[in-house]
Amino acid sequence: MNHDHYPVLIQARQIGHSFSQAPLFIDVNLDVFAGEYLTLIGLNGSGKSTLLRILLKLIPPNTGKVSSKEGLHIGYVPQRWHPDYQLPMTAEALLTLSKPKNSTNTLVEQLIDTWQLNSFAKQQIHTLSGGQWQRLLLARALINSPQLLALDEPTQGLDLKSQHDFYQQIAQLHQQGMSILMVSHDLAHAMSYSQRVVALAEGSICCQGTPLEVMNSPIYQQRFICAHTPQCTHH
Amino acid sequence: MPDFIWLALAGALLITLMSAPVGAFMLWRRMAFVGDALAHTTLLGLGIGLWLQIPIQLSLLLVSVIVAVSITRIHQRNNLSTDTFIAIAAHSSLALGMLVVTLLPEARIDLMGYLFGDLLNLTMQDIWGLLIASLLTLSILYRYWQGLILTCLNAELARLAGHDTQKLNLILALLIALIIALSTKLVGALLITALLITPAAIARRWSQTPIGMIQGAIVISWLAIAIGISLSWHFDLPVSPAIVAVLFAGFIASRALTNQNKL
Repeated sequence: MNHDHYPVLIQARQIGHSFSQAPLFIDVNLDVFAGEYLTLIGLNGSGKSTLLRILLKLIPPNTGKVSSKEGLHIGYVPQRWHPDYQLPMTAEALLTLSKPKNSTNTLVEQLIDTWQLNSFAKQQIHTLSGGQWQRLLLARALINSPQLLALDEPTQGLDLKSQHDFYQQIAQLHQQGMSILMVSHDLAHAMSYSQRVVALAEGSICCQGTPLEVMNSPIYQQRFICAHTPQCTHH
Repeated sequence: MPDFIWLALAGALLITLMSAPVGAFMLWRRMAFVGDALAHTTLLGLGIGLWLQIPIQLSLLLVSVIVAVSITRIHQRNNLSTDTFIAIAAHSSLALGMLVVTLLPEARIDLMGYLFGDLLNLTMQDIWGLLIASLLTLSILYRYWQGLILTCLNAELARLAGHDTQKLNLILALLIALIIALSTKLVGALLITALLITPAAIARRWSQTPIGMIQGAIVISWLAIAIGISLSWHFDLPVSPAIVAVLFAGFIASRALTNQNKL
Protein backbone atom coordinates (compact mmCIF):
# COMPACT_ATOMS: atom_id res chain seq x y z
CA MET A 1 0.00 0.00 0.00
CA ASN A 2 1.44 3.34 -1.04
CA HIS A 3 0.70 5.92 1.64
CA ASP A 4 2.11 8.97 -0.11
CA HIS A 5 -1.32 10.47 -0.71
CA TYR A 6 -2.75 9.72 2.72
CA PRO A 7 -2.52 12.31 5.50
CA VAL A 8 -0.24 11.44 8.39
CA LEU A 9 -2.09 11.11 11.71
CA ILE A 10 0.92 10.48 13.93
CA GLN A 11 4.58 11.05 13.13
CA ALA A 12 7.36 9.73 15.35
CA ARG A 13 10.97 10.72 14.68
CA GLN A 14 14.18 9.34 16.19
CA ILE A 15 12.38 7.87 19.17
CA GLY A 16 14.63 6.37 21.80
CA HIS A 17 13.48 4.94 25.09
CA SER A 18 15.02 3.07 27.98
CA PHE A 19 13.49 1.04 30.74
CA SER A 20 15.39 1.01 34.05
CA GLN A 21 18.45 2.33 32.14
CA ALA A 22 18.39 -0.60 29.69
CA PRO A 23 17.70 0.70 26.17
CA LEU A 24 14.37 -0.60 24.85
CA PHE A 25 14.70 0.89 21.38
CA ILE A 26 16.74 3.55 19.61
CA ASP A 27 16.13 5.82 16.65
CA VAL A 28 12.66 4.58 15.73
CA ASN A 29 10.89 6.48 12.93
CA LEU A 30 7.27 5.69 12.23
CA ASP A 31 4.30 7.33 10.52
CA VAL A 32 0.69 6.32 11.09
CA PHE A 33 -1.44 7.18 8.06
CA ALA A 34 -5.14 7.96 7.86
CA GLY A 35 -7.27 5.00 6.83
CA GLU A 36 -4.64 2.29 7.31
CA TYR A 37 -4.74 -0.85 9.44
CA LEU A 38 -1.32 -0.97 11.06
CA THR A 39 -0.18 -3.70 13.42
CA LEU A 40 2.93 -3.50 15.59
CA ILE A 41 4.38 -6.92 16.27
CA GLY A 42 7.34 -8.00 18.33
CA LEU A 43 8.55 -10.64 20.70
CA ASN A 44 7.89 -10.27 24.43
CA GLY A 45 9.83 -7.34 25.84
CA SER A 46 10.51 -5.75 22.45
CA GLY A 47 8.78 -2.57 23.59
CA LYS A 48 5.77 -2.61 21.28
CA SER A 49 3.31 -1.55 24.00
CA THR A 50 5.71 1.16 25.15
CA LEU A 51 6.04 2.41 21.57
CA LEU A 52 2.24 2.54 21.28
CA ARG A 53 2.03 4.58 24.50
CA ILE A 54 4.71 6.93 23.16
CA LEU A 55 2.83 7.32 19.86
CA LEU A 56 -0.34 8.14 21.83
CA LYS A 57 1.66 10.61 23.99
CA LEU A 58 0.74 8.70 27.15
CA ILE A 59 4.43 8.61 28.08
CA PRO A 60 7.16 10.93 26.83
CA PRO A 61 10.05 9.27 24.98
CA ASN A 62 13.58 9.71 26.36
CA THR A 63 14.66 11.10 23.00
CA GLY A 64 12.95 12.06 19.76
CA LYS A 65 9.65 13.69 18.98
CA VAL A 66 6.06 12.61 18.38
CA SER A 67 3.61 14.89 16.63
CA SER A 68 0.00 14.24 15.72
CA LYS A 69 -2.51 15.81 13.40
CA GLU A 70 -4.21 18.76 15.05
CA GLY A 71 -7.53 17.84 16.68
CA LEU A 72 -6.94 14.11 16.16
CA HIS A 73 -9.53 12.08 18.08
CA ILE A 74 -8.13 8.79 19.33
CA GLY A 75 -10.12 5.91 20.75
CA TYR A 76 -8.03 3.63 22.96
CA VAL A 77 -8.46 0.09 24.19
CA PRO A 78 -5.62 -0.40 26.68
CA GLN A 79 -3.86 -3.65 27.48
CA ARG A 80 -6.32 -5.95 29.18
CA TRP A 81 -6.88 -5.33 32.86
CA HIS A 82 -9.64 -6.47 35.15
CA PRO A 83 -11.77 -3.76 36.73
CA ASP A 84 -11.46 -3.54 40.49
CA TYR A 85 -14.31 -4.84 42.64
CA GLN A 86 -14.01 -1.78 44.87
CA LEU A 87 -15.39 0.62 42.25
CA PRO A 88 -19.12 0.00 41.82
CA MET A 89 -20.09 0.77 38.24
CA THR A 90 -22.39 -0.69 35.62
CA ALA A 91 -21.37 -1.09 31.98
CA GLU A 92 -23.87 1.61 31.01
CA ALA A 93 -22.49 4.00 33.66
CA LEU A 94 -18.97 3.52 32.27
CA LEU A 95 -20.19 4.64 28.84
CA THR A 96 -22.09 7.58 30.34
CA LEU A 97 -18.98 8.65 32.25
CA SER A 98 -16.92 8.57 29.05
CA LYS A 99 -19.29 10.43 26.72
CA PRO A 100 -18.38 13.92 25.54
CA LYS A 101 -19.83 16.63 27.79
CA ASN A 102 -22.13 18.15 25.17
CA SER A 103 -23.63 14.84 24.01
CA THR A 104 -26.90 13.29 25.17
CA ASN A 105 -27.65 9.87 26.63
CA THR A 106 -28.99 8.84 23.21
CA LEU A 107 -25.36 8.35 22.17
CA VAL A 108 -24.88 5.81 24.96
CA GLU A 109 -28.11 4.01 24.01
CA GLN A 110 -27.01 3.88 20.37
CA LEU A 111 -23.65 2.39 21.33
CA ILE A 112 -25.34 -0.19 23.55
CA ASP A 113 -27.58 -1.22 20.63
CA THR A 114 -24.85 -1.17 17.97
CA TRP A 115 -22.38 -3.19 19.99
CA GLN A 116 -25.05 -5.48 21.47
CA LEU A 117 -24.29 -4.63 25.06
CA ASN A 118 -27.98 -4.81 26.11
CA SER A 119 -27.66 -8.15 27.88
CA PHE A 120 -25.07 -6.80 30.34
CA ALA A 121 -25.57 -3.01 30.26
CA LYS A 122 -26.90 -2.96 33.84
CA GLN A 123 -24.31 -5.44 35.11
CA GLN A 124 -21.40 -4.41 37.35
CA ILE A 125 -18.22 -4.15 35.30
CA HIS A 126 -16.16 -6.38 37.60
CA THR A 127 -18.59 -9.26 36.92
CA LEU A 128 -18.28 -9.13 33.11
CA SER A 129 -16.67 -11.97 31.16
CA GLY A 130 -13.46 -11.27 29.22
CA GLY A 131 -15.34 -11.00 25.91
CA GLN A 132 -18.05 -8.72 27.33
CA TRP A 133 -15.50 -6.46 29.01
CA GLN A 134 -13.47 -6.14 25.80
CA ARG A 135 -16.62 -5.36 23.78
CA LEU A 136 -17.53 -2.68 26.33
CA LEU A 137 -14.05 -1.15 26.16
CA LEU A 138 -14.26 -1.09 22.39
CA ALA A 139 -17.66 0.66 22.50
CA ARG A 140 -16.23 3.13 25.04
CA ALA A 141 -13.27 3.84 22.76
CA LEU A 142 -15.66 4.71 19.93
CA ILE A 143 -17.80 7.11 21.96
CA ASN A 144 -16.08 10.28 20.72
CA SER A 145 -16.14 9.16 17.03
CA PRO A 146 -12.36 8.74 16.79
CA GLN A 147 -10.39 8.92 13.54
CA LEU A 148 -7.85 6.53 14.96
CA LEU A 149 -8.55 3.45 17.07
CA ALA A 150 -5.52 2.28 19.06
CA LEU A 151 -5.56 -1.15 20.70
CA ASP A 152 -2.96 -2.80 22.89
CA GLU A 153 -3.09 -6.61 22.65
CA PRO A 154 -6.89 -6.50 22.81
CA THR A 155 -7.51 -10.22 22.48
CA GLN A 156 -5.09 -11.39 25.15
CA GLY A 157 -6.82 -13.98 27.31
CA LEU A 158 -9.91 -14.29 25.09
CA ASP A 159 -11.07 -17.64 23.75
CA LEU A 160 -10.74 -18.32 20.01
CA LYS A 161 -14.34 -17.46 19.14
CA SER A 162 -14.21 -14.16 21.07
CA GLN A 163 -10.88 -13.36 19.35
CA HIS A 164 -12.39 -14.03 15.94
CA ASP A 165 -15.50 -11.94 16.69
CA PHE A 166 -13.33 -9.09 17.98
CA TYR A 167 -11.08 -9.02 14.91
CA GLN A 168 -14.15 -9.09 12.66
CA GLN A 169 -15.53 -6.04 14.46
CA ILE A 170 -12.23 -4.18 14.07
CA ALA A 171 -12.10 -5.10 10.37
CA GLN A 172 -15.63 -3.75 9.96
CA LEU A 173 -14.63 -0.45 11.58
CA HIS A 174 -11.64 -0.25 9.26
CA GLN A 175 -13.86 -0.83 6.24
CA GLN A 176 -16.00 2.08 7.44
CA GLY A 177 -12.93 4.33 7.20
CA MET A 178 -11.43 4.21 10.67
CA SER A 179 -7.65 4.01 11.02
CA ILE A 180 -6.47 1.13 13.18
CA LEU A 181 -3.23 1.01 15.15
CA MET A 182 -2.89 -2.26 17.00
CA VAL A 183 -0.22 -3.93 19.08
CA SER A 184 -0.44 -7.68 18.79
CA HIS A 185 1.57 -10.76 19.66
CA ASP A 186 -0.74 -12.73 17.38
CA LEU A 187 1.22 -13.07 14.13
CA ALA A 188 -1.66 -14.89 12.37
CA HIS A 189 -3.97 -11.96 13.07
CA ALA A 190 -1.36 -9.40 12.02
CA MET A 191 -0.79 -11.15 8.71
CA SER A 192 -4.47 -11.80 7.92
CA TYR A 193 -6.09 -8.47 8.82
CA SER A 194 -3.45 -5.70 8.60
CA GLN A 195 -2.52 -3.59 5.60
CA ARG A 196 0.86 -2.79 7.09
CA VAL A 197 2.92 -4.67 9.65
CA VAL A 198 5.78 -3.12 11.63
CA ALA A 199 8.02 -5.63 13.37
CA LEU A 200 10.12 -4.59 16.37
CA ALA A 201 13.14 -6.60 17.39
CA GLU A 202 16.32 -5.92 19.34
CA GLY A 203 15.70 -2.23 19.85
CA SER A 204 14.57 -1.13 16.40
CA ILE A 205 12.10 -1.68 13.59
CA CYS A 206 13.60 -4.74 11.90
CA CYS A 207 11.18 -4.82 8.97
CA GLN A 208 7.93 -3.31 7.83
CA GLY A 209 5.57 -3.44 4.86
CA THR A 210 2.53 -5.36 3.72
CA PRO A 211 2.01 -8.70 5.47
CA LEU A 212 3.38 -10.49 2.41
CA GLU A 213 6.50 -8.30 2.29
CA VAL A 214 7.13 -8.83 5.98
CA MET A 215 6.56 -12.58 5.83
CA ASN A 216 9.00 -12.86 2.93
CA SER A 217 11.62 -10.73 4.61
CA PRO A 218 14.67 -12.79 5.68
CA ILE A 219 15.08 -10.64 8.80
CA TYR A 220 11.49 -11.38 9.86
CA GLN A 221 11.98 -15.09 9.26
CA GLN A 222 15.21 -15.09 11.19
CA ARG A 223 13.92 -13.12 14.18
CA PHE A 224 10.35 -14.35 14.42
CA ILE A 225 10.27 -17.83 12.93
CA CYS A 226 13.79 -19.24 13.42
CA ALA A 227 13.86 -18.11 17.05
CA HIS A 228 11.20 -20.76 17.72
CA THR A 229 12.23 -23.37 15.13
CA PRO A 230 15.57 -25.13 15.81
CA GLN A 231 15.65 -26.73 12.30
CA CYS A 232 15.15 -23.35 10.55
CA THR A 233 17.34 -22.86 7.49
CA HIS A 234 17.38 -19.04 7.43
CA HIS A 235 20.29 -18.57 9.85
CA MET B 1 -29.81 16.88 75.13
CA PRO B 2 -26.95 19.16 76.16
CA ASP B 3 -25.60 21.64 73.58
CA PHE B 4 -22.22 19.92 73.31
CA ILE B 5 -23.92 16.77 72.00
CA TRP B 6 -25.65 18.78 69.26
CA LEU B 7 -22.34 20.41 68.38
CA ALA B 8 -20.66 16.98 68.27
CA LEU B 9 -23.38 15.62 65.97
CA ALA B 10 -23.18 18.66 63.69
CA GLY B 11 -19.36 18.50 63.60
CA ALA B 12 -19.51 14.76 62.91
CA LEU B 13 -21.91 15.31 60.01
CA LEU B 14 -19.57 17.88 58.49
CA ILE B 15 -16.55 15.60 58.91
CA THR B 16 -18.41 12.72 57.26
CA LEU B 17 -19.29 14.95 54.28
CA MET B 18 -15.53 15.08 53.69
CA SER B 19 -14.34 11.72 54.95
CA ALA B 20 -16.95 9.56 53.18
CA PRO B 21 -16.28 10.67 49.57
CA VAL B 22 -12.52 10.98 50.04
CA GLY B 23 -12.46 7.59 51.84
CA ALA B 24 -14.34 6.04 48.90
CA PHE B 25 -11.70 7.39 46.51
CA MET B 26 -8.99 5.97 48.79
CA LEU B 27 -10.63 2.56 48.52
CA TRP B 28 -11.00 2.82 44.76
CA ARG B 29 -7.35 3.82 44.41
CA ARG B 30 -6.19 1.24 46.98
CA MET B 31 -4.75 4.03 49.12
CA ALA B 32 -6.02 2.90 52.53
CA PHE B 33 -2.53 3.00 54.03
CA VAL B 34 -1.89 6.56 52.87
CA GLY B 35 -4.52 7.76 55.34
CA ASP B 36 -2.95 5.70 58.09
CA ALA B 37 0.52 7.07 57.31
CA LEU B 38 -0.73 10.65 57.26
CA ALA B 39 -2.46 10.14 60.59
CA HIS B 40 0.90 9.00 62.03
CA THR B 41 2.64 12.10 60.68
CA THR B 42 0.29 14.38 62.60
CA LEU B 43 2.28 13.75 65.80
CA LEU B 44 5.27 15.33 64.07
CA GLY B 45 3.02 18.22 63.04
CA LEU B 46 1.92 18.56 66.64
CA GLY B 47 5.54 18.60 67.86
CA ILE B 48 6.64 21.13 65.24
CA GLY B 49 3.66 23.36 66.08
CA LEU B 50 4.59 23.35 69.76
CA TRP B 51 8.28 23.86 69.00
CA LEU B 52 7.79 26.79 66.60
CA GLN B 53 4.82 28.09 68.57
CA ILE B 54 2.57 28.30 65.55
CA PRO B 55 -1.12 27.29 65.50
CA ILE B 56 -1.31 23.49 65.82
CA GLN B 57 -3.75 23.02 62.94
CA LEU B 58 -1.44 24.99 60.64
CA SER B 59 1.57 22.81 61.52
CA LEU B 60 -0.56 19.64 61.18
CA LEU B 61 -1.67 20.80 57.75
CA LEU B 62 1.89 21.66 56.65
CA VAL B 63 3.35 18.30 57.66
CA SER B 64 0.41 16.33 56.19
CA VAL B 65 0.64 18.24 52.91
CA ILE B 66 4.43 17.71 52.65
CA VAL B 67 4.06 13.96 53.25
CA ALA B 68 1.03 13.65 50.91
CA VAL B 69 2.83 15.49 48.10
CA SER B 70 5.97 13.36 48.64
CA ILE B 71 3.92 10.14 48.43
CA THR B 72 2.31 11.33 45.18
CA ARG B 73 5.65 12.37 43.66
CA ILE B 74 7.34 9.09 44.57
CA HIS B 75 4.40 7.13 43.18
CA GLN B 76 4.66 9.05 39.89
CA ARG B 77 8.45 8.77 39.57
CA ASN B 78 8.36 5.13 40.53
CA ASN B 79 11.96 5.17 41.75
CA LEU B 80 11.05 3.87 45.19
CA SER B 81 8.22 1.56 46.05
CA THR B 82 5.32 3.69 47.32
CA ASP B 83 4.42 1.35 50.15
CA THR B 84 8.05 1.36 51.32
CA PHE B 85 8.02 5.16 51.47
CA ILE B 86 4.62 5.22 53.21
CA ALA B 87 5.87 2.83 55.90
CA ILE B 88 9.13 4.81 56.38
CA ALA B 89 7.34 8.19 56.47
CA ALA B 90 4.69 6.95 58.92
CA HIS B 91 7.00 5.47 61.52
CA SER B 92 9.80 8.02 61.16
CA SER B 93 7.47 10.95 61.61
CA LEU B 94 5.81 9.26 64.58
CA ALA B 95 9.24 8.76 66.18
CA LEU B 96 10.45 12.28 65.30
CA GLY B 97 7.20 13.70 66.66
CA MET B 98 7.74 11.87 69.97
CA LEU B 99 11.36 13.13 70.13
CA VAL B 100 10.34 16.75 69.48
CA VAL B 101 7.60 16.55 72.10
CA THR B 102 9.97 14.97 74.64
CA LEU B 103 12.66 17.61 73.99
CA LEU B 104 10.21 20.39 74.77
CA PRO B 105 9.95 20.17 78.56
CA GLU B 106 7.44 22.99 78.76
CA ALA B 107 5.13 21.30 76.26
CA ARG B 108 2.45 19.17 77.83
CA ILE B 109 0.92 16.95 75.22
CA ASP B 110 -2.07 14.76 75.74
CA LEU B 111 -1.26 11.64 73.72
CA MET B 112 -4.64 10.11 74.46
CA GLY B 113 -6.22 13.29 73.13
CA TYR B 114 -4.05 13.04 70.01
CA LEU B 115 -5.14 9.44 69.40
CA PHE B 116 -8.78 9.79 70.35
CA GLY B 117 -9.51 13.52 70.01
CA ASP B 118 -12.38 15.10 71.83
CA LEU B 119 -15.51 15.13 69.75
CA LEU B 120 -17.59 16.32 72.72
CA ASN B 121 -15.54 19.51 73.07
CA LEU B 122 -16.20 21.05 69.65
CA THR B 123 -16.75 24.79 69.57
CA MET B 124 -18.76 26.92 67.13
CA GLN B 125 -15.42 28.04 65.65
CA ASP B 126 -14.59 24.37 64.90
CA ILE B 127 -17.99 23.94 63.27
CA TRP B 128 -17.42 26.94 60.98
CA GLY B 129 -13.97 25.62 60.05
CA LEU B 130 -15.41 22.19 59.25
CA LEU B 131 -18.25 23.74 57.23
CA ILE B 132 -15.80 25.67 55.04
CA ALA B 133 -13.52 22.62 54.62
CA SER B 134 -16.41 20.30 53.73
CA LEU B 135 -17.84 22.76 51.18
CA LEU B 136 -14.36 23.11 49.67
CA THR B 137 -13.87 19.34 49.52
CA LEU B 138 -17.27 18.68 47.94
CA SER B 139 -16.82 21.44 45.34
CA ILE B 140 -13.37 20.13 44.35
CA LEU B 141 -14.71 16.57 44.02
CA TYR B 142 -17.65 17.84 41.94
CA ARG B 143 -15.36 19.87 39.68
CA TYR B 144 -12.95 16.98 38.98
CA TRP B 145 -15.41 14.08 39.31
CA GLN B 146 -15.14 12.63 35.79
CA GLY B 147 -11.32 12.72 35.76
CA LEU B 148 -11.01 11.30 39.28
CA ILE B 149 -13.35 8.38 38.56
CA LEU B 150 -11.71 7.64 35.20
CA THR B 151 -8.30 7.70 36.90
CA CYS B 152 -9.56 5.13 39.43
CA LEU B 153 -10.66 2.96 36.51
CA ASN B 154 -7.56 3.33 34.36
CA ALA B 155 -5.08 6.21 34.40
CA GLU B 156 -4.24 5.81 30.69
CA LEU B 157 -7.88 6.13 29.68
CA ALA B 158 -8.16 9.25 31.83
CA ARG B 159 -5.02 10.76 30.27
CA LEU B 160 -6.18 10.09 26.74
CA ALA B 161 -9.54 11.67 27.59
CA GLY B 162 -7.59 14.85 28.36
CA HIS B 163 -7.38 14.65 32.16
CA ASP B 164 -4.15 15.59 33.91
CA THR B 165 -3.78 12.51 36.10
CA GLN B 166 -0.73 13.87 37.95
CA LYS B 167 -2.74 16.90 39.00
CA LEU B 168 -5.70 14.71 39.97
CA ASN B 169 -3.46 12.48 42.11
CA LEU B 170 -2.08 15.55 43.82
CA ILE B 171 -5.57 16.95 44.44
CA LEU B 172 -6.67 13.69 46.04
CA ALA B 173 -3.54 13.55 48.21
CA LEU B 174 -4.07 17.16 49.32
CA LEU B 175 -7.70 16.47 50.19
CA ILE B 176 -6.67 13.50 52.34
CA ALA B 177 -4.03 15.68 54.01
CA LEU B 178 -6.57 18.46 54.63
CA ILE B 179 -9.11 16.12 56.21
CA ILE B 180 -6.57 14.41 58.44
CA ALA B 181 -4.95 17.66 59.54
CA LEU B 182 -8.29 19.29 60.32
CA SER B 183 -9.90 16.35 62.01
CA THR B 184 -7.05 14.89 64.09
CA LYS B 185 -7.29 17.58 66.77
CA LEU B 186 -11.06 17.30 66.84
CA VAL B 187 -11.73 13.58 66.64
CA GLY B 188 -8.27 11.99 66.93
CA ALA B 189 -5.97 10.11 64.59
CA LEU B 190 -7.64 6.76 65.28
CA LEU B 191 -11.18 7.90 64.51
CA ILE B 192 -10.39 9.87 61.37
CA THR B 193 -8.59 6.98 59.67
CA ALA B 194 -11.44 4.66 60.67
CA LEU B 195 -13.97 7.17 59.32
CA LEU B 196 -12.14 7.37 56.01
CA ILE B 197 -11.99 3.66 55.26
CA THR B 198 -14.57 1.59 57.21
CA PRO B 199 -17.83 3.33 56.13
CA ALA B 200 -16.78 3.19 52.47
CA ALA B 201 -15.87 -0.50 52.84
CA ILE B 202 -19.29 -1.23 54.40
CA ALA B 203 -21.15 0.85 51.80
CA ARG B 204 -19.39 -0.94 48.93
CA ARG B 205 -21.31 -4.12 49.67
CA TRP B 206 -24.67 -2.44 49.01
CA SER B 207 -23.72 -0.01 46.21
CA GLN B 208 -24.25 -0.11 42.48
CA THR B 209 -22.75 3.31 41.64
CA PRO B 210 -19.87 5.47 42.92
CA ILE B 211 -22.33 8.16 44.08
CA GLY B 212 -24.46 5.53 45.83
CA MET B 213 -21.37 4.27 47.65
CA ILE B 214 -20.49 7.78 48.84
CA GLN B 215 -24.06 8.46 50.00
CA GLY B 216 -24.10 5.12 51.81
CA ALA B 217 -20.75 5.89 53.47
CA ILE B 218 -22.07 9.28 54.69
CA VAL B 219 -25.18 7.68 56.24
CA ILE B 220 -23.15 4.83 57.80
CA SER B 221 -20.54 7.24 59.23
CA TRP B 222 -23.14 9.50 60.74
CA LEU B 223 -25.18 6.62 62.19
CA ALA B 224 -22.01 5.11 63.71
CA ILE B 225 -21.10 8.47 65.24
CA ALA B 226 -24.62 8.98 66.62
CA ILE B 227 -24.70 5.44 68.09
CA GLY B 228 -21.13 5.83 69.42
CA ILE B 229 -21.95 9.13 71.14
CA SER B 230 -25.11 7.60 72.58
CA LEU B 231 -23.18 4.59 73.94
CA SER B 232 -20.57 6.91 75.36
CA TRP B 233 -23.23 9.05 77.04
CA HIS B 234 -25.12 6.13 78.59
CA PHE B 235 -22.22 3.88 79.56
CA ASP B 236 -19.56 6.50 80.26
CA LEU B 237 -17.25 5.25 77.52
CA PRO B 238 -14.61 7.21 75.58
CA VAL B 239 -16.36 8.56 72.46
CA SER B 240 -13.90 7.85 69.63
CA PRO B 241 -13.18 4.19 70.51
CA ALA B 242 -16.93 3.66 70.88
CA ILE B 243 -17.53 5.03 67.37
CA VAL B 244 -14.68 2.94 65.88
CA ALA B 245 -16.10 -0.16 67.63
CA VAL B 246 -19.58 0.55 66.17
CA LEU B 247 -18.04 0.92 62.69
CA PHE B 248 -16.21 -2.37 63.12
CA ALA B 249 -19.42 -4.10 64.23
CA GLY B 250 -21.14 -2.62 61.16
CA PHE B 251 -18.40 -3.97 58.92
CA ILE B 252 -18.67 -7.48 60.39
CA ALA B 253 -22.49 -7.38 60.13
CA SER B 254 -22.39 -6.20 56.50
CA ARG B 255 -19.95 -8.96 55.68
CA ALA B 256 -22.18 -11.57 57.26
CA LEU B 257 -25.35 -10.22 55.63
CA THR B 258 -23.99 -9.88 52.11
CA ASN B 259 -21.97 -13.08 52.33
CA GLN B 260 -19.17 -11.78 50.10
CA ASN B 261 -15.57 -12.71 50.48
CA LYS B 262 -13.94 -9.63 49.09
CA LEU B 263 -12.64 -6.81 51.28
